[in-house]
Amino acid sequence: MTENLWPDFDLAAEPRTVRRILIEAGAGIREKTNGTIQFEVDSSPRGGGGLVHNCYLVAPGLGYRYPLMRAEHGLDQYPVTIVVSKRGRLADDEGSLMTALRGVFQDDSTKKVVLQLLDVISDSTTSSSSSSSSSSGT
Amino acid sequence: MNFLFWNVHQKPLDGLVVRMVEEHNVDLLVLIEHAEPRHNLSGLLGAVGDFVQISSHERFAVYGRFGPECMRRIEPPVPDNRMDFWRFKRNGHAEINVAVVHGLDIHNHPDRNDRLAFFSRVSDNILWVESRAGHKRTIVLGDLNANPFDPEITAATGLHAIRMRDVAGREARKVRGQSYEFFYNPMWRCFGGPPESPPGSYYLYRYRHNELFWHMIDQVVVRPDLLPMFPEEQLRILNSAGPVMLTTHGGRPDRRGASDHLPVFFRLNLES
Repeated sequence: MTENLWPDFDLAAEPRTVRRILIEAGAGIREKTNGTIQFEVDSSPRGGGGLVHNCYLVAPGLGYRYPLMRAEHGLDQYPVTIVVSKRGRLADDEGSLMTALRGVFQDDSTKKVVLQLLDVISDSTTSSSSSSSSSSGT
Repeated sequence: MNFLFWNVHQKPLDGLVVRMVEEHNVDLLVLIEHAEPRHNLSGLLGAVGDFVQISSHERFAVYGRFGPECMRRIEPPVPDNRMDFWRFKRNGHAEINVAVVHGLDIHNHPDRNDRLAFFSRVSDNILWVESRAGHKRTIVLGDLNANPFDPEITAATGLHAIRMRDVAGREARKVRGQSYEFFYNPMWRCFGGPPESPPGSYYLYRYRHNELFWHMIDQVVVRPDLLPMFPEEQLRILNSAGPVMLTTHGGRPDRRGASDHLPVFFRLNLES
């Protein structure tokens, strides 16, 4: 049998990748909105071994995904570029990435989007429950 | 007044739409092949401004940041669910006619005669709308499913949209005794636009000896009377929605994450 040239990998350990950090940091929105809004990270190759992580606020009931931010990095995890609108902000390590994420999540524009989304979800739930109750009555 | 139109390929892309409306301060939004259900989009646009949905054919979804009375739908004598017409009239703004068109695609309508006949009808209906309005301040926008150089767009019996702003100062030309009015087609400039701008609105890779790859099938064309109000340099094919790219790393439309078409933004200075 041919000798296996690959090293042993620690398959149990989840590597602390930028993607993992984004997923974990964003997951808190679920708790803050009673599960109605979720945070999704959609990753794709950027070229040169790098990755682009598009981060969305998602209302599963509406089939709605609001693009909140994008994180990009090369083959090395850092630096990460965080893009919210046009201009990017660099994070050189996990600590500065967390600081940047806190800034995005707590920004007034993000709060406005979340509140608007909750309002639409609430409207949608009300109208669907009223239509279902009227249909059950006929 | 800012315009944005996009063929969303029946995909649930409302989040990207809202983000672009916000970013480009859009006043009139036209979506072609919008996915159902669409009733939530008005509410979601509420995060950006007071939008109302404008009455339209089902294949279009039209939203305006103004009262619904400002955009009155006009039914032409020979209606067609791939074209829609409105008169936009708002205090302090020049009145215009707006036509939205979804042209016949080459795949399902391979006979060019069908596609030419379609644009002949578009032209006839526009002339009818203009005669009712008493002016020729008209724009046509949409997924025309033809390139700016195709006969459907350039022929006198088609849309008659040409690449020159001015043909010896004329607004029409005669062919065999019949007069045909021009549109100006500004999309030609987008073929060789700025380096960061996509060179088309639609990309197709086919195994043919002659292949263009990039196509400019999403277009806006304007009558000469509207040219003074049309800042051409603001016309853009967009490749991002806020932080999210609508194109892949290779620069082509991201069919997976967005649409196979790219959106088009332009402005008309209608404010008097």
